[in-house]
Amino acid sequence: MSERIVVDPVTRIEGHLRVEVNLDETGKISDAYSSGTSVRGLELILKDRDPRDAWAFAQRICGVCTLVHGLASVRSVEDALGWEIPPNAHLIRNLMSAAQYVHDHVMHFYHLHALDWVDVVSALDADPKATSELAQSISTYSKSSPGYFADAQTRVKGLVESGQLGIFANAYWGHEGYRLPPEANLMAVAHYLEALAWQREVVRLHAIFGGKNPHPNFLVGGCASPISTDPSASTGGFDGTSVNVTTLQQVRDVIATMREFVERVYLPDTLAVASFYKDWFRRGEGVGNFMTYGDFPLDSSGDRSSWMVPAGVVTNRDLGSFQPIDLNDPEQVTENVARAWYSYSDGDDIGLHPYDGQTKFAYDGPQPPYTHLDVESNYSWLKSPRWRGQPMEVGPLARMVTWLATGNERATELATGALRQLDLPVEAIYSTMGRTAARALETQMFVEQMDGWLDALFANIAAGDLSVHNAKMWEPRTWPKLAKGVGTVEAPRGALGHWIVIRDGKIDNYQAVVPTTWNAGPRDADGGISAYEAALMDNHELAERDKPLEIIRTLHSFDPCLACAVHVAGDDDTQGLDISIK
Amino acid sequence: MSLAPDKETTDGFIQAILAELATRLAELASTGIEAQIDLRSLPMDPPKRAALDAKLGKGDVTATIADRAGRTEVFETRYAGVWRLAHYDMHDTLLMEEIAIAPVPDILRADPTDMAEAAARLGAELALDTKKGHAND
Amino acid sequence: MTEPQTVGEMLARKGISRRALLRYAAWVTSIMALPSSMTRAMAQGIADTKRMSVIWLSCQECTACTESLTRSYSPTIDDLIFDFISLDYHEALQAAAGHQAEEARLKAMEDNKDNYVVIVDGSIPLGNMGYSTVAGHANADVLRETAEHALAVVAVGSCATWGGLPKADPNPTGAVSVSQIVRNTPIINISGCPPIPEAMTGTLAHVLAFGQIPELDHLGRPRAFFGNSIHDRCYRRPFYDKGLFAKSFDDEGARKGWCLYELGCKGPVTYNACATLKWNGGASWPVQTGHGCLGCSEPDFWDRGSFYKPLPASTEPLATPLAAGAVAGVAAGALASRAAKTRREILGAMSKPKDAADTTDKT
Ligand code: SF4
Repeated sequence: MSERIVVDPVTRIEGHLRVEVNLDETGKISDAYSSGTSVRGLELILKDRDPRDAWAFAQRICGVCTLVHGLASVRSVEDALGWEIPPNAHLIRNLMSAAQYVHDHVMHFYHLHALDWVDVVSALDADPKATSELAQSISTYSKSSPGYFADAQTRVKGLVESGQLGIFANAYWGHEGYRLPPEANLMAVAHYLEALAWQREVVRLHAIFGGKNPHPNFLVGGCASPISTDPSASTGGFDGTSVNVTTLQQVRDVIATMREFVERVYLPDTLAVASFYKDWFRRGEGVGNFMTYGDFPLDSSGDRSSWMVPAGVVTNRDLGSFQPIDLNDPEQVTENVARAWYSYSDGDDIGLHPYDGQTKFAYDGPQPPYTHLDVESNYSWLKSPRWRGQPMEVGPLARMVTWLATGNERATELATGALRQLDLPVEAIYSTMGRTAARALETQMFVEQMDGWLDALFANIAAGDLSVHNAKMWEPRTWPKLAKGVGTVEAPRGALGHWIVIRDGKIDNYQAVVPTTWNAGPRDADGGISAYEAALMDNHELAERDKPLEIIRTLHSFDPCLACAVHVAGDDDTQGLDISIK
Repeated sequence: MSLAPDKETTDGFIQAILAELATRLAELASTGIEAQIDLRSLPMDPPKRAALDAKLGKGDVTATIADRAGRTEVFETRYAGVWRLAHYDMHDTLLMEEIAIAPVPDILRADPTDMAEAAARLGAELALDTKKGHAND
Repeated sequence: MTEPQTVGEMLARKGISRRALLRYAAWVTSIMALPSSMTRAMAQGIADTKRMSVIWLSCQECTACTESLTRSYSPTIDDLIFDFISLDYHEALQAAAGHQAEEARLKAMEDNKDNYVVIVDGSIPLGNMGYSTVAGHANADVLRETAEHALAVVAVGSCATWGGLPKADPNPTGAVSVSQIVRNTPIINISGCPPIPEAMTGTLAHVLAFGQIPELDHLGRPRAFFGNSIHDRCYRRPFYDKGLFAKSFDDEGARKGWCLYELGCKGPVTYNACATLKWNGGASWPVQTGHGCLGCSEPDFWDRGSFYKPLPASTEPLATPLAAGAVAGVAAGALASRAAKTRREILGAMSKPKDAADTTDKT
């Protein structure tokens, strides 16, 4: 007789995620069900609005990957209208997006994922001097003195002794699955604190180009960050705008700060932690199919071959199977609602391409408070996107796979280096820890690119090109009566696309298909399983049923972002709510 | 097109602040009532700011408080009892600036709790030294 | 040595003296426009109190409010959660998951009955209780239960304060604000999408130090942060006054920092502290980069027409109330010792009629 384990809330993620799993007699997960439990209906809200406003709404899909939806949105409008943007705008967007990667991945590792591997309470037993030696053996990072680690230890001790553990209260401390020695735990805790301070500094890059973070500004047709060349003289002592030669120098400093932390802290820490958990390279594979939309254009010609991340799919772990994708092809990308709390007018068992996307809320789950979902029926606010009917994994591991498939030299070098260091075969990447390691490795790749983009921006400015916005198509009356487009971003969590239909200058249909929807969706009409569920069903045994540490490890390896994943298409049929209550 | 603020506005603004300072300083001298003015609450563009700095100038006393949470720079202006304070956080970002009208700014005074703690610590150290001293005899 | 209990003792352990606390208090009283004479009382209040238990509930949200909090410069997020408050429940940050997380919330409620603070981000859907649940419980039920014995509820972000994005037309899920759910506990609204981090931490410091909620405006927002319009304090204001406007996002005027009014800036009808506190440690703020203010701290700003449509010319901004008030010190509510303040008294203070001077909801 199987036993049901529920984890809700899955914490240290963005948004509201619940999982229910069945254990077989041996304690292994035999079935897993992932459910998004909160819906907002954003795309319905976007209908009939000015497409130039859409970015601000879309950006509020998520405040963690705070800029990717703004970027996807402005790109969708630009794609629909054939609106070219100046080279400087591409560079600024690349810089902002890459900064998002670095910020997001580091925070994910330390503040969302690390506590799955790091036992904070055990750090109290560490010897700061030995910790210092450990830290110095794996990195040249300057903050590594015994005093530095003793300070971190004192802070945690303060919490424990005060009896108010705050965010560390009631966790799985002491679980047999924690395997780091106290010193490694203390090192990670110190870096948890360090990363909190670091992240606050590096988002200044977003503030300089976008005015604030979270939720920096975007603008259809380029960037809303005019470059002022000589602020003080022209404005009588006031700064002109926040982008000028002085602040671009600050951007340079931010990039250096990012790079130092990634190279000397994040990457070495990830590999050090991974070396204690090698069995986690043998479980948690997803669906074995990977997809990237590609991104980081280096010029405005739209030439995809110059993109840093390629666009394509790899199926069945077969690197030779790489093939390009066409997001406008109704046969390729579809969204399915067979097991979600939505209904389609022509039946729930067909998939719809995002341009034709439609949805009605059709909540027939249990009325709260409830203890179990009806997983045999509908069980999530997430739809299930498919590529040619197949589930795909998107995100850092997918990027690593398409990079390897297309022979990207730097990615190959980083991946083989890490595998060699850990003494693991290449198949090890298809796993929980493989996903976590791929995230750290790609962060290194992005941070290495940033100086080059900034150099190019400086060079353009020096050559007199200050242009950041193409205003030619700003007025909606210059637009065609009907236009369709898709804006894609290779976001930190994976392939992101916003599909837009513009009619008479207004949004007629808007559909966002986001990374976490690809990975975390419920089953489809054919019983096809998405990546979260597949990964949990791959070789997971719970050591303690009341403390399902194994489950959250694998879920966190995907960096779930649930507010992103849950959405609703805007469609004429959807104006009236259709709620059927069980 | 230049947009340098008019000289009159600047002069008027500085006059207003100085008048306020004069009143408070007189009050301090006669009644001992201290006052603080938060410079953040006064919208000053760079020219106004420069004019104020020039007028107040620098006097005899300068002090720095540096601790693990940040730093405070204190100096007396050319007017006795009128102090300038600038507070920085641990990343050396300027938090705020103020003008204090006081015999000595509050933050320079040692806090009773800190003093009590110091007294206890000193006592303990003394006791330890004495013990060590005996041990060495 | 006795176990550290108060914030002052926690800080002392870290080697942080009362002087440093005084510096912080000077900054909070400054950004909250409290009279500077309250600085010492604030430092003392913070030092003497136990770390305040805080329960953070997330409803229909995007987590930007939490992200924003982590960007706070003073106090920093680590100072906040290690030294000032005990963040006993926060889904995005806490280590515990599943039922252990829920137990942590219930325990904090029990241990700190009538003394903990609830922070809420996100709106609450009433269209169907299944639209947003945590641990199988509807957001509305959890909020009601948790708020009942709280000292105060702080609604952060425009979704929690006004309904925000989910409530934007046609409000598909029947989303409402915190104030439509919570009835008998004082509410502080800190709007913004997201709010300025220091507005959140400053307000918490005030509650922590004085056991009292700060003076609020007619919309329940701390007057200190929402008392002036963006336009009142905008560095581009001299250009506005002289009629110098950027006509496109990349023209000569745009590069020189001219006023963004004609590009749709909502600064004149938006009350928030972006122009003075700025964002991300003073790195910039939206208008400074060259995009008009979206108006994100005002109720229903999503439904007030395009962000790029200029405000009607009749929108006459208020004159800036200048120096005099600030120099003289803004009157604030009388101080009372933390112990003497009961929730009833706080409630009483809250319901006092507000000064109508700033109720300039001009749209
Ligand atoms: S309209 Fe906007 S840009 Fe112009 S002065 Fe007012 S707030 Fe500043």
